[in-house]
Amino acid sequence: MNTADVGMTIGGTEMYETQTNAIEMKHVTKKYASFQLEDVSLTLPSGCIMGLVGENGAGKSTTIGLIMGSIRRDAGEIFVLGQDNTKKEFDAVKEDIGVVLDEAYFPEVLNAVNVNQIMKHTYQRWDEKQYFDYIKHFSLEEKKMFKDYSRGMKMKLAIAVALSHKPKLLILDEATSGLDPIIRDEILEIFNEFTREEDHTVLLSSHIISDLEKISDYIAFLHQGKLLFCEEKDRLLEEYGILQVTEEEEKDIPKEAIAGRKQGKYATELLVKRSKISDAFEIECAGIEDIVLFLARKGE
Amino acid sequence: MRGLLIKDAYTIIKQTKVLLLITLIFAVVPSDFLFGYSVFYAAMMPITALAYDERAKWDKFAGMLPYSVNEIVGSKYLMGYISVGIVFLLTIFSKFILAAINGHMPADAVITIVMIMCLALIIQAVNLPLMFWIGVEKGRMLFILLTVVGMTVFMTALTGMDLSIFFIEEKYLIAGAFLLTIVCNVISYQISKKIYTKKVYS
Repeated sequence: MNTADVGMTIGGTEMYETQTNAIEMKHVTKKYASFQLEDVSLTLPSGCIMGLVGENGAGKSTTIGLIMGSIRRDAGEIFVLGQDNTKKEFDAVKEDIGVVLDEAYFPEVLNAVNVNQIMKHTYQRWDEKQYFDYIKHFSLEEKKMFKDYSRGMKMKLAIAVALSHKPKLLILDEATSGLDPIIRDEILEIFNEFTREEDHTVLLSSHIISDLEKISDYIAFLHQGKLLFCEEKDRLLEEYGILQVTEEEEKDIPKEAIAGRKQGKYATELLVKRSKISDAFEIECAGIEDIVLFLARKGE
Repeated sequence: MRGLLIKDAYTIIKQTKVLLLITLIFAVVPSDFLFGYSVFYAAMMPITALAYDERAKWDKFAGMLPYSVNEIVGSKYLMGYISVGIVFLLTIFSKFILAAINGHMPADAVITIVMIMCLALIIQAVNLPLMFWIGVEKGRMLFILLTVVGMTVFMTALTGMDLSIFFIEEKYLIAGAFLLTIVCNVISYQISKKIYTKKVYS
């Protein structure tokens, strides 16, 4: 098992505990003719939820494919639940991973009952009762063919499958897109519930940053194949703020404090690092969406 | 691998009910010609299943499940063997029933069935790597092209030749057919695994 020392402060004394990492990517590179995922390193500790953010084509699905070993990397190392994912033994580790993909489905003539039979003979710890509980909870018709499902229904079925074999790690690629806000909220609550177990972890990629902000402990931001940051959400919210300034005022701000800039008609909006700027400035709170948009703009 | 076979069985049963029924009827009708049709349909079952997999982008999802490439590719071969095996057993069964009614079994009945079955499995061995390589639609066209070219070359080569030199005893013929079928399928399976790995995992 791969472990990492995670620092925490209790009563002013810095303590260290050894925590297992569910996912570790070290300097991973994947080159295609028209796209390159460059030197990506990220660590997702067990028991946490990580939101993977990025525009279309940023490399989110490629990253998930690399983590699951369904895409071969050109360089770097990946450990999932402590196992090198290029090893043969990783096939057995997949028993502990529930995956939802955004565009890979079951053959269209199958229905939820057929899927139960297939998965019963695929996963050793398949829980039929739990699966049908989810089917009922998501209001899915058991006998309806997959081809007659809406995109939202397909995602719900895929989520039911991912959750019904007692996984330790959930990997979800755009799992909440195409769902209405009410069911999206319910599903996010299910993911949240899932991580109440100490060794349960979630990696969730989404365009809907507000969803990720709601439940994530960590945010990783991929932009044009590069990982711009992978940070604790609370640390990001603490570190960054928004400052509205005039051109004159901007001159007084240290350059290293400016992480992003947006020129408005009457004022300039800056994403600033709070630690590098005087308290005299009136800094507004920045949401994850603000941080991501500012940094993406800067990256271009 | 059982999950994969169950998925393919559901897909085939639901999607090709009529074809499946024809295959089973042809298997029991006492005609070597119809048996030939039946066994070739059976050998095409994995390709039909592959076509539905392609449409659903199942390969991407299968890569996330606790299955190895050996199992994913192997399940398609196994499905062909099971389909051909069922047709073979049904045909043998109907032949025996007929023999019991007529009071005799034609001498060449079993050998014809075995030879057709081996040919169908060799064709499956040629077909599957093509389907894994370029997909079912293009794969089918390439297979037809290869068959036409192959048959033309074969028939041209045989024209004017003294065919008596090819006379082989039955037992050697069956053994040779079995051996060729096994060799073709082993090679085909290895090629399909390489193609699948390159295509899906690159």
